[in-house]
Amino acid sequence: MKGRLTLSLFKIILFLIVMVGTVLAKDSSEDGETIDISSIRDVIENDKLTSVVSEKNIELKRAQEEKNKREVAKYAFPIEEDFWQFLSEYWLVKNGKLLGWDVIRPDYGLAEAFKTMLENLGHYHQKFNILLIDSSEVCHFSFPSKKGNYVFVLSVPFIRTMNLSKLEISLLLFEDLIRKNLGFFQHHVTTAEFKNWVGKNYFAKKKVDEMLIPKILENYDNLIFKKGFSFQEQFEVTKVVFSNIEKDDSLVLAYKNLLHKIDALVKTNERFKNYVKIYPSPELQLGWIGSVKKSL
Amino acid sequence: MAQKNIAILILLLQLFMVGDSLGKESEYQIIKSEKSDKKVYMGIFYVNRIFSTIVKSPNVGATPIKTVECGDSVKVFESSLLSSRDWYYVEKGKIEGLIKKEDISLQKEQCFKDKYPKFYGELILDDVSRYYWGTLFERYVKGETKVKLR
Repeated sequence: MKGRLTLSLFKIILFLIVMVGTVLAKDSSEDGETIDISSIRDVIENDKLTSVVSEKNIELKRAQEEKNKREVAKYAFPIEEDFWQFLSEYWLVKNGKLLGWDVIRPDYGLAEAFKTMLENLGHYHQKFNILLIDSSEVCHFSFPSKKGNYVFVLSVPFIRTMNLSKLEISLLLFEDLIRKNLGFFQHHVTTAEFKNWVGKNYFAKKKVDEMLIPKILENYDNLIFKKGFSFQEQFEVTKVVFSNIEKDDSLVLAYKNLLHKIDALVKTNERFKNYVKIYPSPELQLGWIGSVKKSL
Repeated sequence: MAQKNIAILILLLQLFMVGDSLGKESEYQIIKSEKSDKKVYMGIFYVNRIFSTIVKSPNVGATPIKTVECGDSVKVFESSLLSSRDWYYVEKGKIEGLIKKEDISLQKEQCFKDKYPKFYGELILDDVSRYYWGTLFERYVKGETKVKLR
């Protein structure tokens, strides 16, 4: 106890000496004299003052760096999967009135029929959402989304006019599923500019290029309402669908029936004349199935 | 005899106190509304869809009261008046209504707006779009495939 008191007293005296020394040093430096402070550096270091100060500085620096990192992270541009899922739904929301999906409809037992068909074909752990729409302009689509997730739109007038069975509708959706897996939709709507942004951080730019999203949405419109898919893409889709179902005669028959029905519809019904521009063409698809079958 | 009577008296007193404490406990759990509906408080849940809608009645397409966003918290109650098991009774501030069970969860999920806040903030979503997005999930015919065990 006595020792501690002495030590404290010693520290106070030492502090006073340092203070007086500093004042004197200031005075003497003004007089052009220099003071050697190395003699007191040891005392300060022994008191661990310098290490405490440097630790505090490191802590502050680290906290600032963390804050900066968090701020930079806010500017992450979505990765591909997140982006497409988000944008597809964004497009559906923006076109809600045009597509007429905001009406409560029965599910027509579609979920169960499609699920059963997929499971029979060995497509497990697939999540799907089917949006029934009231449009003769848009008949069916599978939108870009997360892997193993599917967002379908399906026109009620389209399936009703042809009086499609649940199996035929399931095959139509399966065709869309394959088309999505082959990445054709994404290929048509992606822009070169988008590839420079996706999954990257735009902290330095602070704002997304204002034409980036509108351009992709415009590409969605073009593909869905005007341009559609190419013959080559349709051939690829038909080939893959057929290779999936070829071992099940009832499915092959149902697929052929479906294509026949669509072919007849687009040739006779004015409301659906736009269909072949989007999906060329049911007639050719029937021919391709025949040629694939022969080559096997 | 007197000792026996005192023992009985103490026992009755204890039983009365236990009963009283149980009563207090259940008061926290069962909230009786004016319609004598018994609502059991279940806890704070979080919206797990990008948007969802609190509605007036437990039906798809029911009158909307408020659009809630992914990550929003709601007080959840199980209500004896609800015949449908797909809905929860919820309170959000002063608003009371119903929400689809599948739209909320106990664990807060990582939402798109939390993952990409600046990107999300740049897309201006008006109230109509937010409401539409909330109803989009209701309109989906949903399904999921599983491994079939033979």
